[in-house]
Amino acid sequence: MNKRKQLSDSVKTVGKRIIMFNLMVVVIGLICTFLNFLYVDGGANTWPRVVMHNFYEQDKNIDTLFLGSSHVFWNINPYILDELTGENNFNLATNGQRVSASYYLLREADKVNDIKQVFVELYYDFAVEDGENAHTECITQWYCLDNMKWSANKIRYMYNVIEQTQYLETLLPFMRYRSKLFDNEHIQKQIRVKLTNDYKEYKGEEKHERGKISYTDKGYTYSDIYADEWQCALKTEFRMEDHPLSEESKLYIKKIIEYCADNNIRLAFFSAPLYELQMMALGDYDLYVKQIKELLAPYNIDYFDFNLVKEEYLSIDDIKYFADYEHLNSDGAEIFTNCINKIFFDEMVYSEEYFHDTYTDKLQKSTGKVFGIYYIEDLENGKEKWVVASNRRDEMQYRIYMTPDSGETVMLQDFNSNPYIEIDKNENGILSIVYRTVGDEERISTKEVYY
Amino acid sequence: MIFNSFEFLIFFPIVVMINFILPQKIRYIWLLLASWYFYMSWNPVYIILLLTSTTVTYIAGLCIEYDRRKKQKDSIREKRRIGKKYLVISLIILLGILGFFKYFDFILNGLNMILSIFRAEAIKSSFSIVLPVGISFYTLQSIGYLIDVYRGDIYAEKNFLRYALFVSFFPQLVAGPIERSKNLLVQLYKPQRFSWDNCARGILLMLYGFFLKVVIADKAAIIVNTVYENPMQYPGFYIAIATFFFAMQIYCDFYGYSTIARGAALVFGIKLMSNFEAPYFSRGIKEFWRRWHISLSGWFMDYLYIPLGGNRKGWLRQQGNLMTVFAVSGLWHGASIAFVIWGVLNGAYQVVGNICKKIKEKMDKLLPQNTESISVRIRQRVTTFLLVGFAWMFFRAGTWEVLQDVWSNLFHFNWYVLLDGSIYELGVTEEFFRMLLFFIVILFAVDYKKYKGCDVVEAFMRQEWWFRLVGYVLLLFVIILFGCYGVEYDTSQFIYFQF
Repeated sequence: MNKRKQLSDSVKTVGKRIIMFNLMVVVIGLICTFLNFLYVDGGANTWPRVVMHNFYEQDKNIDTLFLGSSHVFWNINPYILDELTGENNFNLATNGQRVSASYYLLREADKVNDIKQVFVELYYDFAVEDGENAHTECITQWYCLDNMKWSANKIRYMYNVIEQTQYLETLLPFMRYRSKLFDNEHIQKQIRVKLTNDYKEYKGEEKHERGKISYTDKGYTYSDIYADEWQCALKTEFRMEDHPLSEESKLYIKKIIEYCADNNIRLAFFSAPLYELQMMALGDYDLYVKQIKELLAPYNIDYFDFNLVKEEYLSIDDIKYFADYEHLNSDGAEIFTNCINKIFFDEMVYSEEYFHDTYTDKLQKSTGKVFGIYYIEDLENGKEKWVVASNRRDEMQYRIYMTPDSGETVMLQDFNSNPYIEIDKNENGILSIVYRTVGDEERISTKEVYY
Repeated sequence: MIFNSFEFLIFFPIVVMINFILPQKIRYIWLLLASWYFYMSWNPVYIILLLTSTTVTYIAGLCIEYDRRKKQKDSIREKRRIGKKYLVISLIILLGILGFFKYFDFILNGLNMILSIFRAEAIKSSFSIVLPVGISFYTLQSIGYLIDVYRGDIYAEKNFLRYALFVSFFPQLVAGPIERSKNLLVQLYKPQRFSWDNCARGILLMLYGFFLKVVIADKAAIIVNTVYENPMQYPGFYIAIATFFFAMQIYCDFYGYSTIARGAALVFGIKLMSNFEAPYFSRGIKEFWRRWHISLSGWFMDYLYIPLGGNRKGWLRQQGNLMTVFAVSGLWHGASIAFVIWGVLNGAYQVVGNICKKIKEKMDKLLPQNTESISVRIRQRVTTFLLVGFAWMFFRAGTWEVLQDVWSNLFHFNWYVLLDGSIYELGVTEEFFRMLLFFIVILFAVDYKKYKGCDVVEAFMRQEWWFRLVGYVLLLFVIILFGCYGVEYDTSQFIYFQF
């Protein structure tokens, strides 16, 4: 009798402890959820949250998957592709998506879909060593991880990509906002955003100064934003020569290739078109193309760089097709998507008919045009050295007028082949660049730049 | 692998689970393997040093034991010489290793300073030495064991693996407490069953330790580093404020580590000694050193102060012994003249205290006072804290150059920095600064209960279930929300790892 009582008592004690432990886990879980609600930025995380939700909610099988950064969800319209190909296309693209993220998202998509083909974007800044946005890597990985469902794939992704010091912040998103712990404005804003119907229903719009972006449910953002023609002075210190392809990118490109080969998925890599001013400011872009092609050559995988596409197949070098230097607006996206359809789906393989061998080659074969100015270096006299971004630099002549905000118009040079301009660091104004090609002096054009 | 790392959060539960799944007889082997892995996670090569210390002291212990038995058998009464040569040889080896790794550069710099006086060419070292983590701690622990065996206080341990676990038990391996063989080695023999109570108490201690480390010490470190890395820019009251926070930082850092170590050991059913007993409530320097880093103070008392003669050889000799112990303690903390000054200063406080004792007794007779009145207690505690804080200034400066900068900028009467918001520009925002002060108040409240003899953990465990639940969850979230770690902060090493 005593033994039975003892046993029953010990079972009760163990039971109590198990209940206490579970209660504690539940309380901790509830507090974490509440803190996430209060602190995690609903605005910054909007797009990845929407796209990942829509991805998991897809009823139809995804036949073609596009992976990559914002250039994919701004530039490729899957609705057009659906109509043209009769298949289900989906952009599983997130802001600043690295190749590593693309690899794990591919695995995630392939778990529940019979994917026939996948196109992976390789944006130079996220694929090279110490890119301009290298500091955002952790945040962009969180965009994907926060919105992925728990699975072995997610755990593997976290383990392989996230640094140990970032594990807790990865698991408990509110911890990233500890500096805003006492920021009432932030908390109130989050509550307001998260109580809206758009947020709850994974929909929304973002209003910008010059237009708006609307989220659609196939991983595409419709935008009617037009880049400001005046704002064509680009200040960047990034030069391709200093940034080789990163080892991590190489590793994950190989992993993607192996995965696609093992699972019989057609694979191609591509780079989305950027505005020419951005391209010229990068320095020797051909170095990047060369590295990618060399890496892919042994595997016989195609790389389509749409910055090298011939003008007759894709003519979007006008700023009116861009929302900013890097992203197309919906007008540009429509043209680009049609081009993609022709090259990816009709031709299926890389053809020299469509692409120039190098970016230098492309510039030399195009008609002379000025796209703006970009920064070169600081000078000792307190000024900055800038250069006119023109595709036929050596064969062009420029007459340049400078009108500072606080002064009168001055002519800096009169049809001279010197493309360099010196500008005071703290000065703003307008540059009028009148240009003509040597040998075709009759045709004169003007580009105005707000610096 | 430091305690406040993600690795440890994975490592610890795995070690605990496997430990209690394994049969009791072989658990100590598992704990030993886990401890070696823990140590090797810093630098696998340094396991050689740990093994050397373990092997040398293990063999020496057996030799001393064998020598004793042999002489007892032969009825030799000359007890003083039993095993002495083994003790001396192993001390030379252990202190030689410690000296080489810790003091080589210090000695070389000293030699070069002397050579420069004679305008001789300086000696250049062709290699650089990295101090192996925890070497000062496990060396003292091993020496303590050996002296205990030599004195005949304990029998030499025959099981090498069990002895190796005593030297390298991971919760206290790299920063103490410096355990005594009579406490830890004995417990390693006892079969330890899994106990919910031990587990709950252990986790509570660990959480409190993390609170001290990542919430108070690491946050205070931001303010301290801002000022002490640029004392020219932050004179006067800034230095005073930073020194106050350094007093909190070093206490919470080391107390935090010791508490986590005690908690982790308790989960395995092993009780480690308490290393701190509310030291900032001490009413005198002597009491402070009875409450601060108790395992080290006790070690120096038992294995240095008493062998030197303690207070048995006259008043003057006693003062000399005190100065020697504190100078060695300073040198043990770091191979730098600033640490020696810190040690000597603490010794000097006690010597001066002893000198003034008789004068004070006479004064008390002339002007009788109630020594237990609040005003006297407050005065004594504040004075002790100020003296200790003053000594911490030397400790934090670390080098002679920084010390000179701090000293030359200390006497600026810029009291207004306390009021004009300047103190919120030392790397911690106003809200977090206030929270830091609030947490320091909590620490003092807990310490006060402790000082009054209350076992705070026991008192907590006696509460109703909902209270304990709230306590655990609250402590956890205070650590999560206010702790310094992750992307915003580099995970800080514990200060005492460097010793």
